[in-house]
Amino acid sequence: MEAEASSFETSEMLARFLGSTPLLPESWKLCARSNVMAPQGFLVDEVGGVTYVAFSGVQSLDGLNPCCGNLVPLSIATTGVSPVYGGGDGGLFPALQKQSDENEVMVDAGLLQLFLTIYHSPIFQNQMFEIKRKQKPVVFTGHSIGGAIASLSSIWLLSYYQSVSSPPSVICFTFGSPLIGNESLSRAIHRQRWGGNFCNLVSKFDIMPRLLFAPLAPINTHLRTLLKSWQLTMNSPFFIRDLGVQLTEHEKSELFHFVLRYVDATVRSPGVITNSFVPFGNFMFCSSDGGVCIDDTVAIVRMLHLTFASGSPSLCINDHLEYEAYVDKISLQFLNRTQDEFYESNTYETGVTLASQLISTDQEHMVKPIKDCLRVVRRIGPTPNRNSAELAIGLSRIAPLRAQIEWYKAVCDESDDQLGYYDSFKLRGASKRDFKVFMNRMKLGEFWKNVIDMLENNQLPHDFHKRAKWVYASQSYKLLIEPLDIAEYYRSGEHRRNGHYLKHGRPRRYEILDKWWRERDIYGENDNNNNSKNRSKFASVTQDSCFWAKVEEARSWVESVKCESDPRVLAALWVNVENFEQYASRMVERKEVSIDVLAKNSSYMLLMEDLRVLKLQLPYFSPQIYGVLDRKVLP
Amino acid sequence: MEVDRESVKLSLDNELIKTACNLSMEAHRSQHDDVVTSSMPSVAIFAFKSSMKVDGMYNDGPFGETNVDLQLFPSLQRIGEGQLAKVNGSILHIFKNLLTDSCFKSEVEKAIKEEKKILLTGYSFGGAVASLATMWMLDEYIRKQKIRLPIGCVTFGCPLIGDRIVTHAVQREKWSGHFTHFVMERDIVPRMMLAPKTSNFLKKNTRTHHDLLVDEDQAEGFFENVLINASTVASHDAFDLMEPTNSIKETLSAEFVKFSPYRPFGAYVFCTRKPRQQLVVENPNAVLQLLFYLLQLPNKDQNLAQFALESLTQHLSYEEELNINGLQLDINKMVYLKHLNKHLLTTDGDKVRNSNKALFELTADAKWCLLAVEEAEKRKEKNMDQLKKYMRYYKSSKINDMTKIIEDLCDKIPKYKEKCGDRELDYYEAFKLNNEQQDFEVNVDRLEQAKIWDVIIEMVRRQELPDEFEVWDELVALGTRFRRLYEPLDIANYYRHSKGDSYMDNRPKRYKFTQRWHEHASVMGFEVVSESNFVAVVEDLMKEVITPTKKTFEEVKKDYECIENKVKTWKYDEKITNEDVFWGEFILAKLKEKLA
Repeated sequence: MEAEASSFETSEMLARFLGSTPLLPESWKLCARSNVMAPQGFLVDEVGGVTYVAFSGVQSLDGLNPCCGNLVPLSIATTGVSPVYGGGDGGLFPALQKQSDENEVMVDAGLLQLFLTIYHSPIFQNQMFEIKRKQKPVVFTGHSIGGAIASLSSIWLLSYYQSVSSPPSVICFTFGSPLIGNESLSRAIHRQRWGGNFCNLVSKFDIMPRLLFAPLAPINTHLRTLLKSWQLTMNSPFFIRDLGVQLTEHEKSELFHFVLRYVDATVRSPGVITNSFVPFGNFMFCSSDGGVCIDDTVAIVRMLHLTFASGSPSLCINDHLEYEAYVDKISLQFLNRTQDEFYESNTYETGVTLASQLISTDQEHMVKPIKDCLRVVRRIGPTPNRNSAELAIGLSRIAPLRAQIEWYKAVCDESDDQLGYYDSFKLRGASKRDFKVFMNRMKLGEFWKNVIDMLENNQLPHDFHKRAKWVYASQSYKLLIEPLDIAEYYRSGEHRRNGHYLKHGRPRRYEILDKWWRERDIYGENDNNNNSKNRSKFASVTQDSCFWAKVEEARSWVESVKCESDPRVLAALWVNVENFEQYASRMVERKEVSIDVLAKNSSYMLLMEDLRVLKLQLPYFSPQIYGVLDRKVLP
Repeated sequence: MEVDRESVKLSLDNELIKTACNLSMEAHRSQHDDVVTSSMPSVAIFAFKSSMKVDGMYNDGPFGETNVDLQLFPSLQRIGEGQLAKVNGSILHIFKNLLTDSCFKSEVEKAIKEEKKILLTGYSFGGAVASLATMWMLDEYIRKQKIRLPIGCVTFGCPLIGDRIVTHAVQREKWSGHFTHFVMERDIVPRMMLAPKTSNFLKKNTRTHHDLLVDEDQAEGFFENVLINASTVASHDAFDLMEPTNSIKETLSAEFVKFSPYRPFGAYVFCTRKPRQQLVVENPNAVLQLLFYLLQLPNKDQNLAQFALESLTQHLSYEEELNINGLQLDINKMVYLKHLNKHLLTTDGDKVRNSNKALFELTADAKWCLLAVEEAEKRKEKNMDQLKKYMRYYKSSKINDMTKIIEDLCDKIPKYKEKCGDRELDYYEAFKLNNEQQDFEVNVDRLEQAKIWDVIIEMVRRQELPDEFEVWDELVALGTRFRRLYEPLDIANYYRHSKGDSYMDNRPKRYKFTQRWHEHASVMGFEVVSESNFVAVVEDLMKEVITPTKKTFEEVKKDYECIENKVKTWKYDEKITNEDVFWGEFILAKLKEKLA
């Protein structure tokens, strides 16, 4: 199918939709109230069946100042702080801690501390208990620093809800919130598909959302003065401006240019600097004409820069207090027709022009850069849904390949040489049939590799890997084909060159499919054929696709035993062998292996025989003697 | 067999519209009659009164919608899923009373006997009743009784009453052309059901010619509420049509934002006054966008209260409009949106722009949304073309020898059946044994079929195909053939691996859907057990005989007789009997033997 680009730029339409719902004005109303009435705390309200929790933007600055701008790992900061509330080993954010292959998820130390202080208060715990009990949808919201606390609370509740079936929805609206975490956090949120749960309103010039692109130590005193003055205004019932000590014009200018320099650098540096702050979720950029809503991180950073750079020292400070007007504007913008009229060559450019006009608000020189920025995120290629339909048809095309291999397995398992499926393939000759199976195996591998690539490039629907059809198709692929891959690996002697399959030869696709299977939605369709009922007959395919790899490894241990003389090494080998024996006999006992494992001449049966003879010959090598040694447990 | 669609459409002329409008107003003001009829020599006109208080529209929750009765409206559902359409509860209630209590039905049947054309009409809420009555007639007389009389429905300032499934069903059955809704550019009533109830409506008892819906001092709030909610619905739908990748809208599920289920259906004629022009819009999605965008305030300086009042009074102006010929179907004043779409974003000359001023005065984003509607329509057509390639060979389609075609796969089964005959087995038993190369090959075909159909079903469920896809005769025929040939194999496979549960509890959607398509197309009523899956019931009974768990021997015997009778009737039903059907003689005989 020909590649096609999306024909609509939807950032303006999305903002329009969000703006027309009561969510934005209701959120803001409670935010403003909490600024006045609940300094250092939060307010809860229920409107139209939705619970709103607004965190005050007026927060203690004592804890904030020394570490504002310092990233700390999310895990360290939460585990052990209070195991009573944390609920077990995973800490407060178990969902974000699993990834081992990248940098640690980090958040701002000061903001995390503010969140934890509120989190551990009994009043918060009570409210959250109520919310969890009622199973009602929740909006977390907050202005300024309150927005950061709202984000952390949302991440926490989303993490908590992961273990709950059909949880209620959680959404987070922030108004002029600082960034809260590093790139790993942003990626983790993306990977959990939580981006759609966050909507950060950012006014064009507001310095706060850009602040953490810069190191804060050099401007600490300015910042303190600024925050104090903001908070005095936010806290005052009639929103009186310019309370307390003000920054001088010169200081404002210093602050603006200092931050601008770093925002500038962030945009210029290709790739993201480690240990810097990165946005996540949706950003709704507000101007006096309306808003646009985008969710691509690169575009967000560029837009944060573009709009900020078009401001001025005094705008960047005043705009932090203008959200009321922006929310009003966005929720009422559709009442009137706008006067503009323009013509574009296609529907995509129309959307781009609409969005760029809204944001540039008569600053002509900004129109072009904003357009460029929006075009960055244009989707090229068919839609995820179309891709998924195409893949499903592809799956039907490979079905016969799989069925042929199943047929081959049945033939091998019943054949007279009693080698079984695995060993028949490993010791195969040059027959046409064997070659066909070999080719089918390759084609199937290609197909699944492609599926995984597409998913990781966001070309498939966001819940693709949780759809029952694909989870089961991938699992049956893995169980049937991986033994052949293992056979091929050992047949060609690659284990002698690169080491054993499990550690050094296993294709990445199998690890990912393992993950799909582990994380499958147990409430999905037709799970009935995979329940844990006791099996009455042997499985049609061995339920651990790596079984044969473990057999091969055990075989190499047994071989080593035969010629090893160092007693300590020998002991360790015996422990391994014994662990394997236990694992394998458990599999056989539960009938989780297919009959090919028990074929008379299979590698497994030969190994067992070998082992039996070996033990008879060397009775004094009983592993018990070495029981004092640490036992390694096989997975 | 099928009723010619065009022959049952009522063509409107100005005289008819005028009579309809006058009669509608008469019914509206009538103190007694729910229906006012007028019989012209060739046309019988029924005008419905809106005998309700507006508050009543919201009896069942914030929007007052309720499921339709399947007996009255068998077509108002999504066929495959069997998901019922929702309509406004009060309007449905009024219609049902009308059907049982008044002489409406007998009058209609009298008109049919006299072979008259039938026109249903109504003003305001009366139009809503008329719409519902029309849908009932289309189902009852045209679809079921196959009467060939032109039927039409004309409404004036009618509120929305049906959800998107009604819209879908009307499109699918090609009923759109039966409905003509006249709507004044800014009339609030056709939009009001897009918002939940907030205002206290005036009781309409002290009726004068100029009764408003709400007090004048409430007009502004009422109007604003309607406009805000119309904006939510319109932007929500437009966003969806644009194939977005952003996921925030999914998070904002119905839990967070409760918006109106109602959507327009049928053709809309938007009438403007300055100048007097008419815009005909046939695509329901485009109608929805225009319902919102035409209601927007023209500019920032516009006084909201005044505009709101104007919007309310426009609802009272249909009669006046008629008298100065504003509702005339005048070719010079009328223009079709579908012809203008390609001009929306261009600077084409004054002629195009003057063809409908109201449309071209809309803002760029309004036009953009209208284009999104058109694009979405094209996309659905394109999806259907994609699927066609997998159904059968068309002259136009490129033949790729890798691609398996449903039709080819179906053709293989009769050959398999024949070969099984050589093994002295029917193909069901043979496939269940599955011990020969040919069984294996057929199994591969079965898997191929399953995957292609699963894709089709998935696209139907995601509503990515044109509305009329499910009643497309080629699809229905192919689906029926596939079901009859392959479902016995699926059943055989199921019981071969005997997982304990009944097949009927795990029946794949590809068979449920194809069966329902066939049943709908032949106006049969929906069944669970059919000619393609009764073998599964027999298998279950067989199991009960061997190891009774739920049923006594007598019950099994009774069930068996029931199945046997069904099979007999099917064999004589011309809609069902077909060489493709597998009659399960062997397994039936086996069960009979066991029960003897």
